[in-house]
This record gives sequence, structure tokens and C-alpha cells, in this order.
Amino acid sequence: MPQASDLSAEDQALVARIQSGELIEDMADFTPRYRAVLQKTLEIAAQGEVTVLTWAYTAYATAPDLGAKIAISSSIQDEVGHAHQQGMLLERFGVSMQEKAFNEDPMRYISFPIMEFPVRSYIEFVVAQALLDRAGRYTTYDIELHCSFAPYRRALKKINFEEAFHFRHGAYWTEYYWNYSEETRQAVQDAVDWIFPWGYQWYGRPDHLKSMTDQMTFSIRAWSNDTMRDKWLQSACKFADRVGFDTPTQFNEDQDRYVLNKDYPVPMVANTETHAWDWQTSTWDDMINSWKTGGPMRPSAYERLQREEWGEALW
Amino acid sequence: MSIEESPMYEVFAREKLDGPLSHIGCIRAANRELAAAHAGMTYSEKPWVEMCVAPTDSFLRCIGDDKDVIGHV
Repeated sequence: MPQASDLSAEDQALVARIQSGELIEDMADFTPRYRAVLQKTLEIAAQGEVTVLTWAYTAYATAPDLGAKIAISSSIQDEVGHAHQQGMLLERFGVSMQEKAFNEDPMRYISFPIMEFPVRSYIEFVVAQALLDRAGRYTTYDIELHCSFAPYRRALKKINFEEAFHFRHGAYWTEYYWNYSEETRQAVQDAVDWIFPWGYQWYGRPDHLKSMTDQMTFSIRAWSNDTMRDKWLQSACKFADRVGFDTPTQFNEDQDRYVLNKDYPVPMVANTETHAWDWQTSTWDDMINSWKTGGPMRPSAYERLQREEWGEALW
Repeated sequence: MSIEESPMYEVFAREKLDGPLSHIGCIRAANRELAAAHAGMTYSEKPWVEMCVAPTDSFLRCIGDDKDVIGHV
């Protein structure tokens, strides 16, 4: 990967403008390298939105009542809108969102593997909203706050507004089910045990194993992986403490922050056959490779999307 | 006509009766009626008191150089 020191004169001039606080509005100001990193960021983000809706669809069969079905369908509608927002921007780069969603090889979809494990219960769905929409929002909120390309900031306002709604919805119902009965309380804890590691690993490699990326060089984002991970950890653990469920963390009084338990394995690779963690420490390379191979719903979920075949269970 | 060949429309909405009508996004649609319907479905994040759409090519830029700034979000 090119390093910041490799910047051409025109890249350096663009970086200087950005560092002086200027926002880029006109694509005529782009350098090829700036354009490439923006386009890649958008492509990953837009396709990621599509994978959330195929994942959320699997929650329908588990919804306990009409209100829950409406919540799931609202979430799906939102995710379509998020793909739309970023897809409209991608048009400016000459990339077709229609093509990315409906003609992409399903094995080449960019996704988090958790989006390719079917939802097993509505409680798992709301816990995932509470923890993973929280994780995703830090990624997009960073771009809304800090991206040097002004149209991307604007496009994310709607997205971040709705992501906050999703994780608040998840938080409300996680707390509800935690307090509803012993059975639902156990189901919440089981869901947390499955979902929490996905949240912790959401941001990929730790900073000390990464080189300076063009995303940071050109201020597409300002928060590093470790920064976002810590923001998520503190927020998720405060939520856990308020509700009462367990996480593999403790509050360190000296540091005045939550930290992972020392024996917690980082990173881990999920077992796609057992739909569970083996709780064995893996390597970051293996974990990143597991993102590429995906979960058990790959490629079927995207093939169904591309056939526009939603099935009887929807109704 | 594919969706990407369809005309683009700008979407505006007002959050409060005494607030501004603001540009919130854009959509493509085959005709005006579909544009209004599509905008209402896509930009449902707030309980707007007013929303309207207008064809992108009906706008004249007064300030700024990038003719693509309005449209494409």
C-alpha cells in the first residue's frame, strides 16, 4: 500500500488544502489517488448496506408480533436508503450501484461475515442492532464529521440519523427482554455472547498492524481503527452495565475506562458450521481472510436478492 | 428505460413549519409521479411537514462552479 511519503506533488498540494480546513466540493479538484480512495470507501460502504438488508430479512420469521415485523421492514427500508445515498454518489465516479447490487458476483460481495449468518431469534436481532448498529455508526459518523469530500458528509446525515435510531431501538428491546423473564434474559445473554466479538472485531486490524492508509492521509476519516474500537467498547459496556448483561470486560479504575478481560481471545474466527465461536485466539490475517470467504448465507442470500425472490415467509 | 437512464430529481423537505425548505437528496425516476413516490419512501427518516421534488435540469446555478453539486446528493 502506498505510504503518505509517496505522495506526488499534486497529492501533497491537495493534502495541504485539506489540512488547512478546506472541504473539497468539485471533482475537478481530485487527484487520481484521492479519487481512488474515495471510490473504494464508497463501494465498500454501499455494498455493505445491501448485505444488511439480506441479513435483516432472515429475522422476519422470528418476529414475535406485527410490531416487530414492522421494525424489521423499517430497518430494511432504511438500509436500502443508505445504499441509495451512497449509490447516488458512486454515480459521479462512474460506478453503477444497480450493477453492484444486482450483477456483482455473490462471492465477491464485500461484507462482514456476521451479515451472512441467519438471525436465529428476534432477541438476537435487537441485540445486534444495539451492538452492531452502534459499531457501524462510528464508522459512518467519523466520515460525516471529518470527510474532506463535502458531498459524502451530506450524504451520511440521513444514514447516521437512522443508524442512531436502529441502535436505540435495539437497546430499548434488549432491555425489555432482559427484564421480561428468566428465559428471555438468558436469550439476551446468549445473543450478547455471539454478537459482542463481532462488534469488537468490526474495525479490523489494530493500528500497530496497519500502515498509514490513504483514508487517513486524505482525511476521508479521522478516527483510526483503535480509536473507533475504543469508542464502541466504552459505549457498549456502559450500555451493558445499565441493562445488566455480561460482557468479557472489566472497568479499570486506574485507566477510568472499560478494558477487555485478559483471557479474552483476540481476534477470533467464527465457526461457520456451528454458528458459534470456538473461543480460540486466531491471527488478524486469518480473521481478515474469513471476511473474504464469508458466512453460511454466502452466496445464497445475494443470489436471492439478485433474483428479487423474497419468499412466502415475508408475508 | 433503466433506472440509471431515468431523469434525476432533487428532493427538498421542511422539518418544521417555520423552518427552511432544505435540499435532502436526489433520486432517479421515470416520471414526476414516481419521483414523488420514490422520494417519500427513500427520505422517510423524519416526520417532514412538507416534501417536494423538482427535475435536476430545471435548476440554474447562481454561485459555485461545479454544475454537478446539486444532484448526486
